Amino acid sequence: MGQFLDNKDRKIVPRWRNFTLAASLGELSSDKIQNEDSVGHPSLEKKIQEWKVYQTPSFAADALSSAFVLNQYDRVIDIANVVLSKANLFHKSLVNIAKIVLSKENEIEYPEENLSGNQRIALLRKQLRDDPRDSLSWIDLAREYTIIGKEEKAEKAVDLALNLAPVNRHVIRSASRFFVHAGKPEKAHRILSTAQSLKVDPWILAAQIAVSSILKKRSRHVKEALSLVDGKKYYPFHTSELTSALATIELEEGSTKKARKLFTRSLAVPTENAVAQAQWASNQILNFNLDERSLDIPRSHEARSLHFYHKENWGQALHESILWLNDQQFSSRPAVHASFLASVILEDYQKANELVLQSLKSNKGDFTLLNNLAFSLASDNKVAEAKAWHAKISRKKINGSEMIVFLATSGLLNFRSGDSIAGRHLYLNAINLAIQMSEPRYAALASLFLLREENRISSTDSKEVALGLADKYSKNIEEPYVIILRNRFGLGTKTKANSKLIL
Amino acid sequence: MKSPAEQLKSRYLDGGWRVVDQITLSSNHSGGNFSAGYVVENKDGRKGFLKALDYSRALKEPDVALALRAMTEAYVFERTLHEQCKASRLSRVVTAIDSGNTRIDPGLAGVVEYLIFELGEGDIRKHVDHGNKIDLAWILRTVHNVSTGLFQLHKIGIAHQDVKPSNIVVFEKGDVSKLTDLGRAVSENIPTPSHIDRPYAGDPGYAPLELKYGHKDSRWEVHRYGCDLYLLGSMIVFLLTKHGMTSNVILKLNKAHRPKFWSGDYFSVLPYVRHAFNEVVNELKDLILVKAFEDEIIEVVRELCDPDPRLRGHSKNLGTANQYSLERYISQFNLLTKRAEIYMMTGKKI
Repeated sequence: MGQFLDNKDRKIVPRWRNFTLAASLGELSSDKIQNEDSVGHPSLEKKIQEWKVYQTPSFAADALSSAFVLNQYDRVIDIANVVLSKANLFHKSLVNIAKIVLSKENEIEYPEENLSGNQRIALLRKQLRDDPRDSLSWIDLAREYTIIGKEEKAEKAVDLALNLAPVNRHVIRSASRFFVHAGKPEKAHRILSTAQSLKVDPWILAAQIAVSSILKKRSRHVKEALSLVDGKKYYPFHTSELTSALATIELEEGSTKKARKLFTRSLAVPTENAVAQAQWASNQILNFNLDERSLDIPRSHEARSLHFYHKENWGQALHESILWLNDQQFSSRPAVHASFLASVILEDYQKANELVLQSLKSNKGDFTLLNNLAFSLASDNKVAEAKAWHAKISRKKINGSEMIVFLATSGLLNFRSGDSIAGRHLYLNAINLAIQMSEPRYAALASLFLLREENRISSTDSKEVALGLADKYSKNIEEPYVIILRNRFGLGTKTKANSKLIL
Repeated sequence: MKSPAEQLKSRYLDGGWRVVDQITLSSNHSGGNFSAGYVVENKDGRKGFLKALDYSRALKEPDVALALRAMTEAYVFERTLHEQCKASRLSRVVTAIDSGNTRIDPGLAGVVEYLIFELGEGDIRKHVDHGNKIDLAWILRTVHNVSTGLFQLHKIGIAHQDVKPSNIVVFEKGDVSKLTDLGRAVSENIPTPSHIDRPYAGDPGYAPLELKYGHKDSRWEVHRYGCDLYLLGSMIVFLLTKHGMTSNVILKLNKAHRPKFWSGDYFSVLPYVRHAFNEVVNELKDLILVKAFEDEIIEVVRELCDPDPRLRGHSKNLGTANQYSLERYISQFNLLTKRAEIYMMTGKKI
């Protein structure tokens, strides 16, 4: 059976985006209010006077660029207009300055380069040959290597970046995300815990608390974090993830009231990661609903995907989960979610295969991805291929609930290979194990997919048994995917009630 | 009403000089003081540029005595630097050929102090915009001249601190360029007046990146000569893009990392600055149309303008006592200029 994104547990670990994108989202801003405008300078006035006398490109450029550096845009509006009207006489950088001056914007949007992963790697490597001290390019290169599964190379690049810029927020957060991905959360924890700016940078502190939770530890800095969040020193955007991390701790420790209050605060001016965390929390806490306007925050694909999922808008949910995967290409979570939506709910097996194959590059050996691929291929009657992928699962590493899924998918493979007896046996084992382990959602899914297989081979007696099991184990499960499968397999119409886990 | 410094036209001065025409208004663009600029002519036929100090500006300051003292100190300091330059016969620095004063009216600020310099043909902005042949050979020759001027100053312990297009004057129809204006210069050997002895007193539009963020290295040579190296590299950038390295890099920085918005120290913003700097340097490559020269010129810009002042200087000198010496660059620019001239004439690279 296809495995769903088990959302019982979510930590607000940092997102890992390339530097340009991370910077444009404001994650790397200084946390202080902006400095005063530079005062005018006589040298600028002189240049403006000279421009009036000579009216030639170099004088225009000299005055315009100085005004740009000094933030004195109003003084050079006329010159900026001239530069724009005669753009062919000027370098593109100066034309961009003129545009900024005229629009009074501080940013020019540079179109994202449409390069393949290999092209991006080649470009970064070339840039690093020219300047090996560019820590941000090292961290971008590490990300590219992580996406294609070259973890050793990625780790070397991360280590180099950390050596070059041990105090840089982007480098530290990205490095911690890498080590969590690479299954080395202790190293991530060490990097964050020893960061010089830990106690004064809410972004680093948020990551430290989240990674501590992964290690089942309570961060020693929770108290400091609470006072930092309570103080007025930081603009709420900068403390959004920290507040969310604290809210998550409260939720884990059962203080729902405090968690609700902190999650609400985290959404004052949130990052998309805080929105995703709140979206996740809204499904766990009674009377905590995410304001839908929060979903408009750029790159809120994870939150939007879950939002549409709960609204049973499957197409949009899948679309957003694919965007989430594109944003965090190395992460298995969006791929698991997207492949489950595509295969189990939408029965778009080709799409599911595509998504899982993409994610397996950076998550080689990931149990859920391999299982979902085997499930999707088998459901599409590509049994040999499905078996080959299923065989790649390392049985030694399978944990409790994964064993339920493994048995069920093994059952499916047997059914599709023509051995319905073995298939049935394995499905029943999966259901029994799920019951033993008190995993009702798994029992429901296994019994529903057993029913699907029995329906396919039309053996009346077994079908009746499977129908009974599926009805028994799925009728009390309010998850949208269970409801849709019940309807699909003829277990009567059932609508979604309140699927929240009441805490 | 015109200030005394603006009333010199047609006056006769000591040393056989006659003031011909005023060419710049009184402003404090070029030094610690307000000054007006004139063309002067000597009885012997020599022409010069006269910089007249406008003491009357001090009368508008709240503390007149303090302002007058500051102006006098600045004038004396600049004159002393020029005397030092003259004595050292610096070939690529516009030196003062005369100095003196003249009384315009009997008031407190009625005396105008002046310095007379050799007269050039205008700064490089005029030169590049007036139909002159601007090719790679000319650019390299100009950079060679400017680096020579800076090297000559450094040898006598002076850091210029204000290398910018308007302070590079051309002579001999552009074949020779010289550095001018020591109004913001500082000296290793002569105590600098306090109002000039700031981390950076030069044109803020061209200020080195670290100084835009308020970072000053405590070592004089790293701070001062490192600044001059940056400004020299920035002039190469100007000759290619018509604006300096600082505005190019700031444009590439995310708004949040620009000096105006950054509240942390320089080393915490440095990774972002370096990343933006690398983008600028990589884009410069497209502007060097003769590809045979591309790598070498880009490398020089990279070394001269490194965002970390501790890393500026020729790669072979890093970590040595000569790290900030321009000597190697002068040889390099000289060779590059010759190669470019031959290339321009024959189309063959050497």
